[in-house]
Amino acid sequence: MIATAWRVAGVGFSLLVVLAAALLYGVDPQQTKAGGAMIGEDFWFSYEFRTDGLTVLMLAVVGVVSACVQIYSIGYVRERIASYTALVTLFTAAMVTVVISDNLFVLLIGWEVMGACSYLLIGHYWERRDARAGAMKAFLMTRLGDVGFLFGIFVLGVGYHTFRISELGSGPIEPRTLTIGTILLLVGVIGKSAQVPLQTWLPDAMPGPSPVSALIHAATMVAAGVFLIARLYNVFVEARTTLTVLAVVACVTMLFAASCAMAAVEVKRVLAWSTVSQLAIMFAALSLGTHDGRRAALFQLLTHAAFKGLLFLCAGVLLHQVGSAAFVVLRRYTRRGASRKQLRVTFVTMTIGLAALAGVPGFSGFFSKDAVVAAAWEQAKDGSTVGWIVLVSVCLTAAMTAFYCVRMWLWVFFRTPALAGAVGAFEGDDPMADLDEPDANKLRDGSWLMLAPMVLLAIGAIGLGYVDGVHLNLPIALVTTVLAVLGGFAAYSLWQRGADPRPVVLEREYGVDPAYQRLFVVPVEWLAKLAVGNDRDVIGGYVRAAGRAGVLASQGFRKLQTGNVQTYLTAAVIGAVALAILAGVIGS
Amino acid sequence: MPLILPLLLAVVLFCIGVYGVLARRNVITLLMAFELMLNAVNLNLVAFDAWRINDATGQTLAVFVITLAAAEIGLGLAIVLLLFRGHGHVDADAARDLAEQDDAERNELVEQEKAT
Repeated sequence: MIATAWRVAGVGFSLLVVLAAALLYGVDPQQTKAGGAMIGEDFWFSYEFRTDGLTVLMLAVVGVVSACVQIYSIGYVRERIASYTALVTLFTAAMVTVVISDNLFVLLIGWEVMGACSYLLIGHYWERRDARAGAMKAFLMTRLGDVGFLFGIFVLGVGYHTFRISELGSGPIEPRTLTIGTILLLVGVIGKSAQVPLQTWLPDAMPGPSPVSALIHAATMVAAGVFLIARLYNVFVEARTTLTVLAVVACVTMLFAASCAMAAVEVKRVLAWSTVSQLAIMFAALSLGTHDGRRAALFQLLTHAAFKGLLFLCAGVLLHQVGSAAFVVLRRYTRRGASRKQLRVTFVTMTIGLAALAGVPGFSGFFSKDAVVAAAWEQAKDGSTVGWIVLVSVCLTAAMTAFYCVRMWLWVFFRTPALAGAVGAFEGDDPMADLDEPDANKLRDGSWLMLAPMVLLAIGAIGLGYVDGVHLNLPIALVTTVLAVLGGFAAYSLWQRGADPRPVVLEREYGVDPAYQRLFVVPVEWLAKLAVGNDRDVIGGYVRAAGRAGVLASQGFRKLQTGNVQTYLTAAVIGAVALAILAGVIGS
Repeated sequence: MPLILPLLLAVVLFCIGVYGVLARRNVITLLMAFELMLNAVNLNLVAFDAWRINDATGQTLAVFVITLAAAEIGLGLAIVLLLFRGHGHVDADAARDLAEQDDAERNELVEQEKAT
């Protein structure tokens, strides 16, 4: 009963957000102030909200994706429904707060609530050790970034003498302050959007429920970082140093994450790395510092929300039906195309999503990626180093993206001609896996509650490419298509030969996690042990000494308590006599 | 009559009372010794009243004390009776139930209770 109430509330809230976006579409930008608190005389914290094009765009994205996720969850989540739905709703509300706020502190509140919600939702299956560890990791890493974010707000707010977002960027500010403030904000953005060097939490957050992954990856959490930079774009444009740092971070991240995705052997992990990579493309576009770059980044954000949400929902169906999203398990269902036939809708929509992700011409991802490349080319033409770096990285990433999309699509859904066995190159992945042919007839596409959001998002994954009008730059489109075809063909030829070469360095994801373990976790554990030892043996020593002294003293005093009335009386009489004598001596 | 004589008598009585309270083990003897001490005080009251004030306030107080002593001895004898019923003796030294007990003694008591 309460679960039903929450589900209605959750879907209703998401639809309200969509409705708000629809009503606000085309309305002149304006700011609303809804009370607040003065702090001192100069700075104030107030509930200020704004509506402009960016807000409406983000509201639409958040509303549609969260509505899809909420509806999908009705068919997907079976346990702890009330708390799950409440948290997803709160998550959506927090993102809406971030999107509409015109005050850095209100934005921070939404930003932090999202962090808490992601922790709770990733840990939804808290019986599982990896879910608990992933949730903790996500929380700690985003928290690390949020410290920078908070101080960035202080520095910028004090520098501009206001915390209102719409007033930031106007007015004099020292260049040093601006650079420091934006760099600190960037730290928070990097943590939230899982960029290098804080990227490892996102792939480890995969034990969470798939709809939550869809929400985190498509509309809320990680998109908040992109949104923030787009929102404060006039501030960031002033700080060229920060933009250069952002460009380097983004380019390193997109190649890093794409190469990790090329070696991952689990559908959701591939998708997670691809999210990191795609977000980096958005950041790269933003780092160009041009209007076109911002536009391309937001376009990419929009299309990415559709196809990445779709892909995670599809992965959810696979998880739901097969019980695992690992390649080695999914491959067991490929006999005579069983998984394709039994999961027809999932197969078709997932193909659409992967095509959009890979940048197949005609799908939305193709147009948005080309917009980024075109914006980078505009800069590179003028001899801008950042432009060249971004251009080359995005093109390389396009090829790698096509590679891992095709690789995943083929290995998951098709039987390799060259291999007799189903498992193929993934045999070593899971020695415990049951290699017998499973009964594929049990696979079902799921209820319409789960399929309807997927179909809707699939339509978005195709159609969103055309909403901005088609600005096709033919040479660029040709180059990216050729690169994508090259990447895809490489994956195809490897698959046809039944080979899946995975370099160890990629499989270990460049050893970042073990390095962090050695660099941070182990020293922290040492410090913790030191603190415990100090507490137990030094401070505790004093406490125990005090206690022992008390016990010893009491053992002396208890001898007086004989229980014999006459002993007490004797003491009293002797005392009285002694007092009397004393009085007499003093008195005389 | 000189004041010193009744006062000396009172001192003697009080000292006997103190001695009785401190030295004797029979609880009834203790009560009797208390009575001696009370009566020593009574004697003091009457003596001082007759010596200086002479308006019978001291004697009135003495009468009160006698009354209180009667009540007190009644209560005391009742306690003694309970003590005798519970323990089978009226020995002040042996009645140490309220004393701080060592662990060994406590264990002994517990074992005794179990045995009964």
